[in-house]
Amino acid sequence: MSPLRTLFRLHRTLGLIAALFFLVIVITGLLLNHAQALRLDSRYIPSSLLLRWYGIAPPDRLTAFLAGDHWITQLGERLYLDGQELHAHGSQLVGAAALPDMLLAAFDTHLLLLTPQGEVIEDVSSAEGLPAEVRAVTADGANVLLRTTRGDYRTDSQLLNWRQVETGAGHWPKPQPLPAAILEQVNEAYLGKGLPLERVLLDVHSGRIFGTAGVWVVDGAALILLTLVLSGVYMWLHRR
Amino acid sequence: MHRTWLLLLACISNIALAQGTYQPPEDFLKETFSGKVPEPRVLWITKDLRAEVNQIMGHEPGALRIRYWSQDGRTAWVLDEVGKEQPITTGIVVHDNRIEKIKVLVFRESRGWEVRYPFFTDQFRGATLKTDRQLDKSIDGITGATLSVRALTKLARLALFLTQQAHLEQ
Repeated sequence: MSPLRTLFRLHRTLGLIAALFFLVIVITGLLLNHAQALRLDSRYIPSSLLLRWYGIAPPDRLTAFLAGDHWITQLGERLYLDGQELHAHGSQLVGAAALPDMLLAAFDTHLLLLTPQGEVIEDVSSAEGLPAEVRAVTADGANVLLRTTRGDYRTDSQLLNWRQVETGAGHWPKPQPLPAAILEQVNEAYLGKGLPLERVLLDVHSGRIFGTAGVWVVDGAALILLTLVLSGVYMWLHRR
Repeated sequence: MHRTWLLLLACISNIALAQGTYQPPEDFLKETFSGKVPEPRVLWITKDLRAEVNQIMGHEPGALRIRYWSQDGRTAWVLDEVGKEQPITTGIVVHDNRIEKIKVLVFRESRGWEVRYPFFTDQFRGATLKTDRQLDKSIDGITGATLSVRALTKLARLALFLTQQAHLEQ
């Protein structure tokens, strides 16, 4: 068999082997080339299989308090009012309370005042005179009672001044299990809408979706393409 | 040789001390009001104010109300603004619609801490707000601290603006 014929067979075999890879790379490449126009970064794949593959799952640490008719939940470092994620964070949620026109989430170093719709009214810390090391909070009508490691404090509904008081044992709300419906909403909110399509396409295009092995496979496909180009040009130059 | 080690130690100490609390906000207020800190008040950020604050800061205000302390014509604010990635807590005192004092209270980043020094903050003294919400003074920047300089400048403008609004409400 002539060398040219051998080269032709090699060219054909390699082409067939790599055809599927080329198809994937071409399609993902074309899509990524127009990522902005196609708004790939704002389209999501809500696949639980993919999320598991990427290792995206809600953390185990969940703390929830009932404040009036609302649930204030901390999942990992994120905060939720009922099923809605809040644009605020806290260290460790230690309590929550409902006041006539606002909600209160207490952390060990600060208090978050919220509207019932979840807007932040104020973030109160030691800079605003908050006593240190908060451990629990409760509402007494329009007043707020705070338990800290250094004693109990009372303030008015405006939370402008704190006064040390003796409250006795009192009732200090504890974390409670979330109702199933709220838990589902919180988990969904935590996981987000899913994975951005652009992210997934980039990882498929580069092979990274299958880790290092995937990257090597795509490298191999690229080398095959190079071989096809070189062999194709050679054959064309030496055609009869 | 000893001088080299001392110099090295001084540099390391300087960098290590760059981040941290320079003055607790409560101490800043005590210092400002000679120990007799007035009762705090709040300024609610209404829809109209929100738009103005957004224009000054370049982003939405993080809260619906801001606390301040006012006595004898002097108003003190403790405000936060992100430099590069972390908030810089700053105390600002306004008197007669001019900056009387601006002080970095808590600095959380590893660069840009030079803004805490009087050679920089003294530039703000006497500054007031023009009608376009810009300061009437030019503030010289610091090489390598551009974002911190920008943050403090925005906070100075914000404090002056909020003081005007607080006076209108009183």
